[in-house]
Amino acid sequence: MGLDLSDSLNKHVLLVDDFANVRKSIKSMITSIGLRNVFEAAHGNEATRIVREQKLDIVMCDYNLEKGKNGSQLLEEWRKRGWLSHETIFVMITAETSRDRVMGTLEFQPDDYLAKPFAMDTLKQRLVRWMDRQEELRPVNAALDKGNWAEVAKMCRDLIKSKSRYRSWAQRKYHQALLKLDRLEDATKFLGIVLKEREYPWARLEVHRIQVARKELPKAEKGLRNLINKEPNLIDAYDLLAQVQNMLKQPEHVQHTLEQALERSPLSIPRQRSLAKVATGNGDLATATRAYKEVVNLCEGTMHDAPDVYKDALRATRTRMALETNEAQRRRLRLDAMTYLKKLMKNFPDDTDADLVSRAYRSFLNDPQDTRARADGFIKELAQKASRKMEELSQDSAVDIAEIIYEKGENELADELIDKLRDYHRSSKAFLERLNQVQTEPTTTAESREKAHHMNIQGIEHYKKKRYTEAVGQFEEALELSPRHPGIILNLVQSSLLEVGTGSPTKQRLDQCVELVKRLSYLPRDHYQYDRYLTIRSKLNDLTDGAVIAQ
Amino acid sequence: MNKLELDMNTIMASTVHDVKNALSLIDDQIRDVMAEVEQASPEGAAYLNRIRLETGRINNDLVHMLGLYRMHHNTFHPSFDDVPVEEVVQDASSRYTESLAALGIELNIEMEDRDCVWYMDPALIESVLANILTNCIRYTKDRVDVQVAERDGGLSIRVIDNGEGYPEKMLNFMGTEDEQGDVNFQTGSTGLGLFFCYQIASLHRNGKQHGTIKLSNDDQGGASFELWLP
Repeated sequence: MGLDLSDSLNKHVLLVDDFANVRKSIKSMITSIGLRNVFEAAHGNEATRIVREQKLDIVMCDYNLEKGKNGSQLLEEWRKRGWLSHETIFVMITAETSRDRVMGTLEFQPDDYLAKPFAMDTLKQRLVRWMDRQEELRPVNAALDKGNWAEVAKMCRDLIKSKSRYRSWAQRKYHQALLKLDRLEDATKFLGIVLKEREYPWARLEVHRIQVARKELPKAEKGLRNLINKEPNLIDAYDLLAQVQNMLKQPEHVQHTLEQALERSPLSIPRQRSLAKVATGNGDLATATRAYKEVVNLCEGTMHDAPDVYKDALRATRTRMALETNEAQRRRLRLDAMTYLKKLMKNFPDDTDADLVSRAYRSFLNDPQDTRARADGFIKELAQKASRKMEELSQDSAVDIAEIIYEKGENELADELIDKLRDYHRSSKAFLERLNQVQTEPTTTAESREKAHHMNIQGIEHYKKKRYTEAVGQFEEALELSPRHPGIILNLVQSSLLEVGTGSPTKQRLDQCVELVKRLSYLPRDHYQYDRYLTIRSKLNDLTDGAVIAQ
Repeated sequence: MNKLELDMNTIMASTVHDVKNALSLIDDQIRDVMAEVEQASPEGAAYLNRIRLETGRINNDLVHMLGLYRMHHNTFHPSFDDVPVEEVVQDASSRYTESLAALGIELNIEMEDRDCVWYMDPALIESVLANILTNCIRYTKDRVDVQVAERDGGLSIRVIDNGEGYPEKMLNFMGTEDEQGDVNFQTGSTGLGLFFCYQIASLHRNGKQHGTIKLSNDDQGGASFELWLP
């Protein structure tokens, strides 16, 4: 390979770096080598615009860009959205010492790295190398751009056979193509040949990927654990293992695996979100809120920036605030929530769903400076708006809003909203159940729910043994924790009426029962306690000459 | 890893990074001055070239120090891949293109197969080769040969000069302490460099085999360094 660049002088190069003097010095090197067409971009948006408008041969992008953004996020977005042709060589410019810490674990690997500072000779040599590569792989890359996997497979096999210097790249692409073509048998055979030559970690990982595709989950799980043990920096292996553990319904293991991966490669937004989600499900709200905080920090200005990020972060933070007893910690969580809310409002001003959720959170957070949100009628307006825009409201957002309205003590407004939601979503059984749950236990945390459930069971034990006074005590305590729970309310009323034995209950006791049963006026007809509710209500009506007005 | 160690790791990395940047700036400026004085004073240019080689040596020493520190604290994460060997050899030697030209040293790269691809951490192997090349440039007469070939089922990269050859004591650098004499590789810059090269080589494994280095004196008398990777 000589240093003859004469064929390449009309190639197009894009330089991305937020420092003007760095761009200037690299550009002067490139032009002194003889390449004339050099574009410059100071930040991501500008770079993206150029990538979409120009046909580029080489992109040289600094890893560290403005405001905590990095070159890897750009590469990810360009590749995912198909804006960057595979024919374009993407080179990541890095500070030498950070390379092994950050770069090895990136999901989207560039075609080459260049450690800065670099000398003219080095750059010249690399330019020749990149263009040679571009030339030799052009047909394969064109097929990749078109998504023509049969063609990719065929050409990669030729590269491997001819012992091209790009054969290890070709091996991976060949395997990827076989997977895309659903030729699992051939892929397995091919990996066998590769692994016979050497125990390549990537090939071993792909063996397990095929096992997952074939639903050989325990085998894949064991194999992946071994692989991670030997190759702790093979980040893709953690993601696949988490996927397997998820399929095996082991959410605690999923969380552990994701945490390990994030320890080594903390900058992946999808992985941080998965962790937040699984930790929420596991009831580990500390981990969930921490992960959401990371997601919010990382995602602004990237392709992952979406209202859901902030809504999920707000939900997790709100849930944790309800459980947090430490006042200082609660204040910190509240500040986090304020930040998420501001970003949600600022980044998505035209999104109706985001607008309604923001209003709910403005009310929830009760910022003294937000006088609009503290004014009378704000919640009522929110509830009405939400009812009118049902078609633009996601299920999660609807639940958030209803929960906050309950939290604010506006049960009637919330019940009305829930009724409308129930009607609008009547075909979704799962959501109807969720609405029932929200309505019966709107402000109850998972922890209290658990406790209330436990006390309720103890109360039932007493009831069965006809120890009605003890039963009443247990049900009352349970109801403190979960004030709208139909089962507990009906149990309490039933035991109260029996507590006095054969004598008739006092006026005071009856009034209390009436008040309790009235709490259940929201109960939908398809609720499993509805028939029991009717029975007890009519009995109470008999005893009180119709104090519980029939609906 | 405890907090103190984490900080030490960062301190080491940042310091090395900073000194390397400064060195690179010094190197650039000496190169500019060299270009200016070359016509008027070839001797002056030669002196400056010596200084440039020394900056290269400081650079290598820093890389060794950081690398060995990380190995010692298990924060060293090589990343292996199949890479074209020619590219690694070129990357190592391109650092010295100007120095070699200035000193009138001829560099020949000889590859049995130019498309040869081998499994290694390219950055680490590049630093091993750069380390050996600085030594060669200092001790050779006027020629350095790099020979790449497959040998005994592994990859052999030999760097041979036509200087006086290695002193007898150094040839036994992997022997016992008595045999090593003054060049016990735990002490001194040359020893540390070789120790680093040996460590890097042995990180490269395939099945039960691991990489190694070998020093010998060429039939014609020059020093011969061989890196062998399984």
